[in-house]
Amino acid sequence: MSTEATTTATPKSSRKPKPYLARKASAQEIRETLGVTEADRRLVNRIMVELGFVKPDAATRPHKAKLSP
Amino acid sequence: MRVSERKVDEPSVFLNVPFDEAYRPLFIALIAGLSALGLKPRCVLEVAAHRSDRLQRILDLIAVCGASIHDLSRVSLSGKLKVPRFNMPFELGLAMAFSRVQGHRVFVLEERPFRLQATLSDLNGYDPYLHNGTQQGMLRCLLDCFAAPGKAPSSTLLTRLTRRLTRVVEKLEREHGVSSPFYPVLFRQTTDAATGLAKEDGLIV
Repeated sequence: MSTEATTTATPKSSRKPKPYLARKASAQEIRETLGVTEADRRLVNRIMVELGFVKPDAATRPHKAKLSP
Repeated sequence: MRVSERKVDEPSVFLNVPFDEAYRPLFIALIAGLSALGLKPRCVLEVAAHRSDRLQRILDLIAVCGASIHDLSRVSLSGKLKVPRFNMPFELGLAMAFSRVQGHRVFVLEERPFRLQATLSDLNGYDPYLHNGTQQGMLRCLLDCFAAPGKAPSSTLLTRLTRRLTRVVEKLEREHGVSSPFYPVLFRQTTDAATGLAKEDGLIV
């Protein structure tokens, strides 16, 4: 195996290779790449709200029942 | 077989890992850790199992990923027929080929030291990253492989994110009436949750 290989299974004789420093993707970009749907978002958001990890956002907050006049 | 010429998406990381119950905690840690680092977990769960062009789609998926993780810790016999599974070493070979032609980065993970020398002697001379079969070990491996020195999120933060994601996955599994996250929809939703948690912690925007 060539020592020029880009594999990072570390050659015993060498130091640890540099980490792979890719551009950081945004949350929106990760979701788009994975094909996350609106239904996915709603379910995940509901669960995260139930667990107290996030506050309900406008899109998923249940609508208040209209008060009768 | 040709690989479609699509631009490499640097933050995409192809996951070549076992899909079994024992691996569930490590899989969750992988998704939590990668999302926290602003990377995109990608895997064959995005490719329908019944498709006749499955291999082509796997090749295309690896080709667009800037890096890949190959966990070779499952070396036991499995399934009704008690046979070894060759998919993971096979996909490692595919990724190795890409590493030679387009700079794709390959990271090999193992649970135990020195075992790789016996299971895949073609990689002799190379030390895999060892996760010791723990979530903490997996997060450490991810930091070693992908975190910029001095800019890495703390282990405490990553551990908390992983713990929270585990609770979300438990609920998602209940919603779907399954006992593992190794389904396309669960993979998607787990990653969405990890992304949301990472954003909440200010790790990504």
